[in-house]
Amino acid sequence: MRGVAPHPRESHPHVQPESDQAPLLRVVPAPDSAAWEAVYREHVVPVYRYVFARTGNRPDAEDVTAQVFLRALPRLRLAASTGEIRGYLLTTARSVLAEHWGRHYGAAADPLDDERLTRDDRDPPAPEAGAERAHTVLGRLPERYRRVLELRFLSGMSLRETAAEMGLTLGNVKVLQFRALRKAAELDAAEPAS
Amino acid sequence: MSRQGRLAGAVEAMLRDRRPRSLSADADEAAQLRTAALLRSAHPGADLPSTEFVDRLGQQLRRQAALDEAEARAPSGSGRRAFLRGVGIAAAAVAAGVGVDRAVTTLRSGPDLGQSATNVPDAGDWAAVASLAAVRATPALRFRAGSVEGVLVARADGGVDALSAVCTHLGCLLKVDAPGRRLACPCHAATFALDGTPASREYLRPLPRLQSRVNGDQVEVYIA
Repeated sequence: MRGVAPHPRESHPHVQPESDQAPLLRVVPAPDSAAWEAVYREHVVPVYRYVFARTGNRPDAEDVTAQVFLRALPRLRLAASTGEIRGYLLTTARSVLAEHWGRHYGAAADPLDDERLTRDDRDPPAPEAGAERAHTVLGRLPERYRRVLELRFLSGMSLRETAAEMGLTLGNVKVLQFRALRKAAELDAAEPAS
Repeated sequence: MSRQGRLAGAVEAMLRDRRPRSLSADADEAAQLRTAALLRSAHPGADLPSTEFVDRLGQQLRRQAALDEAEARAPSGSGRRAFLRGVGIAAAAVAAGVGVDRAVTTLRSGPDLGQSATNVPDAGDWAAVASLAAVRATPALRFRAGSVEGVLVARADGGVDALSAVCTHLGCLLKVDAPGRRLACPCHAATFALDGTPASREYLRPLPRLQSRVNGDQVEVYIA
């Protein structure tokens, strides 16, 4: 990939005057491209982290983040404060995430419960809030539940490595992890607004 | 597979940084998936985007911004706001002359990304675009009828579906990838299944359907 915008006929071969009546589409560089690109560079990492905490995997986080910026692009090119832009991007992210979850996990799957949605609207969360919240939930779990989730999610150990580490069978780990995640989800949902 | 097995599979996919398979989760299962995603994001470094992704998206945005700018300056353009609602169709209509916007009106339907719809034109004619035998001989057959770019797909029940062949991303014309049994966009590598649903970039709108019918040994498409 090159560092400059490609010539339009290369990237969009259909944009050619095939008909005498058709007006020519003149594709020119945006004069304010430097401005919105700086905005993009400033916000892409926080937005990605926000999205990742609500998708949990790279392919989905990349797809959702791309969609957020493509939808928000017209607004990025208007003058606005950093806080206003961040708020708009996160609002857009919530709507793209809701569609994503509905499509992949069914109608009951809302990535943000109402309480958190309301809170977020008043005060967009810092991207670090995801990790903080994860540690808060882990800290409230019984020891063995916390341990199995830490080994699997935070340390990235496989089922087999986790079994060896905890002195359990593979089957034990699967059951323990299932129960631990269910309990963690209950605590996560019940946690009061911080 | 059991419900519990599907849920566990989705969680294991997240742990391997892969896209989980779609599943129909109830409220409790959705809560567990949500928490799994949250916990995964606490893995050091897991929630940082790759440099390659940041650069690639930046370039995609730059191209989109250039197209926006071009439309805003086009002397006979339909105006910036309309363009932003239907960037793909605007580009395609310029390329093809007139009529595309009437033939695939569902492309204009704004933020409703999740659904396809059958377009119901209000005036026009049926045009024969291919023989039934030709459609059945291949997974998908591209056609152009006047200003309409489309693709014909033979159904298992003997009927034929007609879809728009204009990518719902930025309006490039799709090519048939016959071995892959899909439609591929040459511009940004988007792909669509032969039923019009996006296969590679799932946030894209599905391809709108065109009205079609089998008339004798010919397949006809309604051209507005």
